[in-house]
Amino acid sequence: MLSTCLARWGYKIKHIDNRAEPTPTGRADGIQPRSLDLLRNMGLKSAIMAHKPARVYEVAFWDPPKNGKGIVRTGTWASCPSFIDARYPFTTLLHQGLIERVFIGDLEKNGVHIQRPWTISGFKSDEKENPEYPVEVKLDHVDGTASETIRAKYLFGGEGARSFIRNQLGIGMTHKDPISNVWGVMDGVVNTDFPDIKVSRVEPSSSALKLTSTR
Amino acid sequence: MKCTIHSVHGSIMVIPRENNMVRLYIQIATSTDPDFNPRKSATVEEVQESAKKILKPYTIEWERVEWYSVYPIGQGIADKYTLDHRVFLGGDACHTHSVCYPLYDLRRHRLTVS
Repeated sequence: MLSTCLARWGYKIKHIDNRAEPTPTGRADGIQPRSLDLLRNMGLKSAIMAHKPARVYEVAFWDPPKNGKGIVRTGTWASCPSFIDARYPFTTLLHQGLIERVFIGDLEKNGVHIQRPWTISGFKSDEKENPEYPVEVKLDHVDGTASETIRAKYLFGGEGARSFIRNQLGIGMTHKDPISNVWGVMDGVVNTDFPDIKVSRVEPSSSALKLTSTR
Repeated sequence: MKCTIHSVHGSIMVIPRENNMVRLYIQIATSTDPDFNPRKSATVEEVQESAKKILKPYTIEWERVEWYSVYPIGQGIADKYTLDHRVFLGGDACHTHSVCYPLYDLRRHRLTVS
């Protein structure tokens, strides 16, 4: 997003990614209503909606019943409640790689090619030494076959929770909620009688309903 | 329809996806567990077993698993996003939260307004 904006405004940028290819599968998959507003203003929404993402308008809550076993639906709620002043009141669900490609396409229109698979191995920032381009950044090909050192006005690190740049700067993370969790995340096709996984078709050959998502 | 499910056996979130797929987020461990280990991992089969327990009395079977991953996450914020206004952090590098926290917030709101 940042690179797309800077490239459109005519700034000279270098964007590196340590992955060899755009995300092929899995990972993040949602665009919140407000973000879709931004993408619309940037003229990128239609390219994203062309992939026919799922639109989620409702969230259902399931809990144990007061007396008894198992789970029961205890309520539903708009996934974008009316107090959020958004133009599109739904969550857009689309595989991250397809969203990335929309940004990559726009960057290429503006002459920016993502350099991959490259990573950052060091940097320093000193305005006294070089007032115009104070940031020096060392970049390496991930297999170690090539490296380069560049000078820049600014460096932006969006390299995820284990950020090299944050660690090098010695910036700590504060965990306001002391509870942390380990999650398993699984994408797949399922057979289930759980009613809130939407029925898209019924398999007459199977005693169980074929329950899948609708797009 | 997105679902958030809490049972005595744990929590799951269900999200529709493309190509007739669904995504399940299944809680494997929480730091309130007496033996909590943030590096805990679990196989596909183990996670499917816990999902089956949580969804009871309903049943679920997988025809195909397209993608699977395990990750520890907490709700955290970097103490600073920049030190000198030359080098900046963004995204997960400076703030993280569990997939379910926004939904917990939604639920809290729902409970206070209803």
